[in-house]
Amino acid sequence: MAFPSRPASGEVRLVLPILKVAERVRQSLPLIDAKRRVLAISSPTQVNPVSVLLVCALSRSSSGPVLYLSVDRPNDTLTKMVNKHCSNGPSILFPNKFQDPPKPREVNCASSLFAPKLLLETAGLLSDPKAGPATLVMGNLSTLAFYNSNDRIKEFISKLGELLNAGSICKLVIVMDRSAQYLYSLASEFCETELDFSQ
Amino acid sequence: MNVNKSDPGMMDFVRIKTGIPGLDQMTEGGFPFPSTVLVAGSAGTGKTTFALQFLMQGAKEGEQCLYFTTLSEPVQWMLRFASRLGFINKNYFGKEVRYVELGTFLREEKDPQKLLEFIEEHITEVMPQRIVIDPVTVIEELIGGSYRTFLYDLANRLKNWQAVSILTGEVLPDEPYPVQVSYIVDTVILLSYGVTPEGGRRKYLEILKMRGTNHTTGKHLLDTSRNGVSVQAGLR
Repeated sequence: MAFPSRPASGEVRLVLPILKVAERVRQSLPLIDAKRRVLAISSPTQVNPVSVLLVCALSRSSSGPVLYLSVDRPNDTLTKMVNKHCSNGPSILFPNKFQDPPKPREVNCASSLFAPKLLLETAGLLSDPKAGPATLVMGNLSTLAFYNSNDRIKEFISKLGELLNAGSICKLVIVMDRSAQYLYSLASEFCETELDFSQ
Repeated sequence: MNVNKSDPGMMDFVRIKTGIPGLDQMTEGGFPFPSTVLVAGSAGTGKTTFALQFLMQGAKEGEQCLYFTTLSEPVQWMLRFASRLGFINKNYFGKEVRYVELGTFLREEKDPQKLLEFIEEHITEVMPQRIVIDPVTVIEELIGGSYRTFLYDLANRLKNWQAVSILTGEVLPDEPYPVQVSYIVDTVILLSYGVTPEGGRRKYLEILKMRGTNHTTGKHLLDTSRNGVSVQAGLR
């Protein structure tokens, strides 16, 4: 699904680019609510704002916790971005095995460049039936291709499907750009709906 | 924006257009995204014009840009001169191109950690795709001995923000380029003057380093006009 393009009078610019992204995310929420496997496509340079604003929007609209798995962003960077943009938003937690499972309106951030398996373990660790199944946002999927083989990533996506089927998570939103065509094809096939934030 | 695919099995860099005519052809399509760039040169070689062209290119493509100046000059002063340049679109200022004055903060607060937090505060607010700090070398004079540590911390943070960041640097008489900054960046571009066989002065651009890129080497003629700077690749 592509969003309506800006009016032809594009010379009159009233808002910051980030506000335009925020508006597109807001418009997309009903579509995200309606599906369990969502692919959010961003231009390669906008993955940052798209991911953060999706996390913020979902943390407000979801009844359960939100997990944010970042492929290539350190935890402190994630915290600052989410804190800045989630007004009245969630608290940020970094998962570890000693931590209590997350509660509603808490966002857990985890990152791992080289070991997608760790991301999955984190997601499994954080899922807690008492808190309600979590919404999982992960990105940028394309950057996994710098550090992992295609087969390994294919297996990773299949495991994400297993988490959904097992009820550990109730919704998966994959954020990526189209720079890794093979991964894009895999993710596109895996997801039920595709939202294009790149235009 | 380009995604080069020279080898189908290899994940290649996303590249963004530099906004400098002639430069993208020398660099496989532009600056790798994300990356950090040093544009160094002595006074008048075109560093600020280069940086402004880079930001205007981003704004034209709908990207968010952030321009930090350390020179402590009022916004209107910078805009007054910039507005004479043909490539400047004033509609972008304050929106796609945000201008942040660091000079006053630097004079009042010399703690490098607080300076980093101040910079980061602005970056987290607008999540820019293009960042300029112009010139970064002034900070050394104001914070003294902590400068090297500051540069390392700055580079680390900039690399986490998913942007292309240009740091401009003044070249001192006894060094070819700001050596301390050159270690922490992915790309070093040197702007310089040279003397022609006829005795005139000309400006040159040379790419000293660009990680992950098969770039053109050597000095190339840099034209300067109301339309900004442009590289005449192959002309020396």
